[in-house]
Amino acid sequence: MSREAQDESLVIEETWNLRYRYSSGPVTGYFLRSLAEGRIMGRRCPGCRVVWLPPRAYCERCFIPTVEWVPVGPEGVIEACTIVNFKIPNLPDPPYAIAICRLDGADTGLLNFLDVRIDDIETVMTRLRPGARVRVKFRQNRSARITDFCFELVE
Amino acid sequence: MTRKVRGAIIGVGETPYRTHLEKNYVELAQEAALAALDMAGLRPDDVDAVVFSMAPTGFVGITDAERWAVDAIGAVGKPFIRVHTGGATGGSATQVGWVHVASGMYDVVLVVGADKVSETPDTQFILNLIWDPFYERGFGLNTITMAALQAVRRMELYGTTEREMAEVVVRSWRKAMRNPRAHLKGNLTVDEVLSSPYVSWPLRRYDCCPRSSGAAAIVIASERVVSELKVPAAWINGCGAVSNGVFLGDRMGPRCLTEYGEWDELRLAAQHAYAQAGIKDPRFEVDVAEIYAPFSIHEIMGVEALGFCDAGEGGRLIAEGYFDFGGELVTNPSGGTLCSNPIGVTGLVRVCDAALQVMGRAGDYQVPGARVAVATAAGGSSQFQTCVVLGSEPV
Repeated sequence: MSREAQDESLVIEETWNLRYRYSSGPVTGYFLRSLAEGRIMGRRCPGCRVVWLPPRAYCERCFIPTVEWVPVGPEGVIEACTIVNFKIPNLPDPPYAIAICRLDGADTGLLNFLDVRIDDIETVMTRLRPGARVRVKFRQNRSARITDFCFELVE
Repeated sequence: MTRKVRGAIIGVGETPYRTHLEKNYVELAQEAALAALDMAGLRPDDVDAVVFSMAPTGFVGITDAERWAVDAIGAVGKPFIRVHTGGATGGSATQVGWVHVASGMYDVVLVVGADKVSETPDTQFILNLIWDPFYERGFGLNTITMAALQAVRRMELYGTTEREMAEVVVRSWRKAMRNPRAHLKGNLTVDEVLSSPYVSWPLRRYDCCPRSSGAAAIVIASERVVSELKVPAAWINGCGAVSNGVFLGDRMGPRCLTEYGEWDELRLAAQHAYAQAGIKDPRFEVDVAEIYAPFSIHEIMGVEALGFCDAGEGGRLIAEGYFDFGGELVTNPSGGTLCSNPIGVTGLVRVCDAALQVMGRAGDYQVPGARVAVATAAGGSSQFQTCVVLGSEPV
């Protein structure tokens, strides 16, 4: 980004390096531990029966607590996918694909990387349209993080 | 629930919008505030309450920078409240300022905000922080990828094309040439847009808004003050706002209540605002719409959500020039958000530019005979939408 006019005022520089310890809460904690065990767990509302993914401790439509864990996947469909072609700090070098996929058994879409070889963006995107079937691929070594799995196309 | 008192915008202040402005944050806010008061023929002492419009302060690098601005904008000794709904902040701040007046409890309210985006090169990192670290932060969700995913849904629903998106860019840049304050402007061609590199498919570089620094302000006055001052007024005849949950995936699939590829939240907010303003058919009754559309796809979604055309028709109509100057309903005569985006204030800029139209004060980008104008703002995880309907006459 280039400056349009030379700044005459004095400039002070500062860099922040902040540390955090994020507490997941019991519902997210159970979900993440299930990932480490190779399972994706949604949470069902006893009222409207919607299976929420990411899981919620309460149903956002009925305003009542959810009580039931439901295993979902291992396959599903792409609801929306894009290939990212610019660099964000701490994120992978582009290009890479991210997708919101609705896994079998869940009623909402979940976001993750979609592992696919990208040579020409436009060509690859023709295979990544909404409705394309995907499956969940777990890593060998998991650490109770959302990145313990990613999506890949069912070809 | 009905308002007790009618309110109108009687002063508008805007700075130029560029990447880099020499003034510091509070000086920018002051410039806009004083300009708005000057247009209204009022002084800082005349203001009863101040509403401050500011989204994430991470760009400025001073947490809660609005506190620093209090004395510069004449708020010392008065009630002061900051509003933050991400990109919708300026629209929400307008709503809050209007409710202050509509309640009958305050006669003159200043709504003002500023943003300075060139203080850090790490804007994308900061924007990515609005997502939680458990489920979504790690995937590069930001305003660009969110808009790309909306475009993907649109293409699936209606066959929206990259060419239709490029037409939005070309026409916005051309409109912006009439606006001395606009950041980006010029004679682009559709081919130039379509040969710029993809940033997140299907969005290309030119499909994206700039990050701009700048400030904006409005003065809202009660009908008693407006009749005393006898100044041009943009009456706030309708104001709607709707929010949605944070997860985009909740808005997809057979059981979703709102569809991510539509702006259902804006459709609902607009319906509320239109009902308050007595507007039955917006496509014939609205003259100008300043639609908050930071990416080209959003103007296509916006004209449909606002009821200016049938579902799926927005892209074709824009590409045919239906919403250009000279038409019955002009969208973004200022060039819009695609041409200037001082993030925390942009929603307020939309209100400013819509107000100027019905006040007859929009200068080179005036739409002749504009009497009803709509201003929208969108924010958060594409989850907050506001819609304000302004008129040259009160309802």
